[in-house]
Amino acid sequence: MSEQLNPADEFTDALKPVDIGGHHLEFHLGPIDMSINKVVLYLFLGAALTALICIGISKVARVLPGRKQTAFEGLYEYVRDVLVGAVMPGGAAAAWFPYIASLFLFILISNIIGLVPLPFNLAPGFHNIPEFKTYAATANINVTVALAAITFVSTHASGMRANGVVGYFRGWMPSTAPPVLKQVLFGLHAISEVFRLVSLSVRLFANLVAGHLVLLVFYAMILMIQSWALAVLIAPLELSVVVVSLFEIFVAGIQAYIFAILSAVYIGGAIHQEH
Amino acid sequence: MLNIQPGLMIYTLITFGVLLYVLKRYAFGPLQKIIDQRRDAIEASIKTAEETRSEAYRLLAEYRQSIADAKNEAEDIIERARKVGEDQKAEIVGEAKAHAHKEVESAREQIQRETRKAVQEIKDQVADLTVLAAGKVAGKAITKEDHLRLVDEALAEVDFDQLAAGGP
Repeated sequence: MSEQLNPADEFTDALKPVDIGGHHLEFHLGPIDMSINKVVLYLFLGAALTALICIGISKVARVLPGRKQTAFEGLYEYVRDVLVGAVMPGGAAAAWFPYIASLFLFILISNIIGLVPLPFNLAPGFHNIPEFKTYAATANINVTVALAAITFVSTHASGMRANGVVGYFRGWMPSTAPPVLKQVLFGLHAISEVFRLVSLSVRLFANLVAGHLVLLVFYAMILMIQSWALAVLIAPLELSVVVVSLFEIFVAGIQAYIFAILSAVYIGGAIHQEH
Repeated sequence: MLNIQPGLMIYTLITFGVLLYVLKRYAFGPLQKIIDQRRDAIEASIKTAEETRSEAYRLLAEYRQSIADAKNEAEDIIERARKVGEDQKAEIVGEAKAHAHKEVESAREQIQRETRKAVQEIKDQVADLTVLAAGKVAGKAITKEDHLRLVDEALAEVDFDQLAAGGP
């Protein structure tokens, strides 16, 4: 049994097409695999929950707010004024606020969904009882790369729109640098722009994967240990699952915050270039 | 774990795109509207409160002025009434004084008149008596002219002023 259990399998299993109501949801669009798998379901779940929470709150929103509304408005105004307003010029902040806020809320809710064990495993293990497992859409590199790509494209598109194509790329080279260095600096800046895309996506993905792997390893230890004596010895260690889970809630918030504020900083920096 | 799946990226882009549209259209827009409405309502309330307060201050000043005016007017009325009273008092006293003076004057005149009348009567009786007595003393009739001369001589000796002064 212990030979079969590999916590990392949780992540590769998620990429297999799922069966819902007897339908095997495997699709292909030319060479591209468009199958509905666990990652896609988690994406849909995250988006649906984000939309439901936000629309639900804005639907019951009144001019005289209640407790829930005050809390949500606090979050809303925090994103608007601190995340976006602080790093972008006024007009751009208003235009980019919905994007940054959606990014923040979507990543936050997806991360938190990842900590809730759900019966998404549609291949029942024991007596057709579905297994409750944790998974996060943001723990998949494809998802985080796609989200980072939106920020990457938005950054350069808004930079070119604000400064002109030539002006924007000229802004990559400090005007005070000697001409020989300028090309080197331009190349360095271009590389740094690409690595922003990489760091943005890998940071979120790696944090989520690491957190889930740690939790899964702790869970797996329960099954790996076949001796009662060892189990008693290691039981206090299992309590650290609680501590790690609490830490993962913190990570869920902080990673969503970092992704959103870095997106705002990148876009704001491209609009308002430093020369 | 690092399998690159373009399909997943496409699903992510579509999902996030739809979510962005939905949130912008149905969540952030209405919420911002409500926040704006609240800000407007608070602004309006503050403005109304300020207007009400300045109106209250204006009314207070007006009332204070009215009270001060009423006080002044009351003092004025009291002052005038006092003056009128004093005038009337002075008038009444003056009239009484004048009346008393007139009474005294008329009493004096009457006394003088009575005195003169009495003196005249005394004069007449004294003259008659003198004539009678003198006739008897002289034993002869005295002419009218003599009488009168004698009477005058006698009267000249009587001090009538002393008589008058001794009167009432």
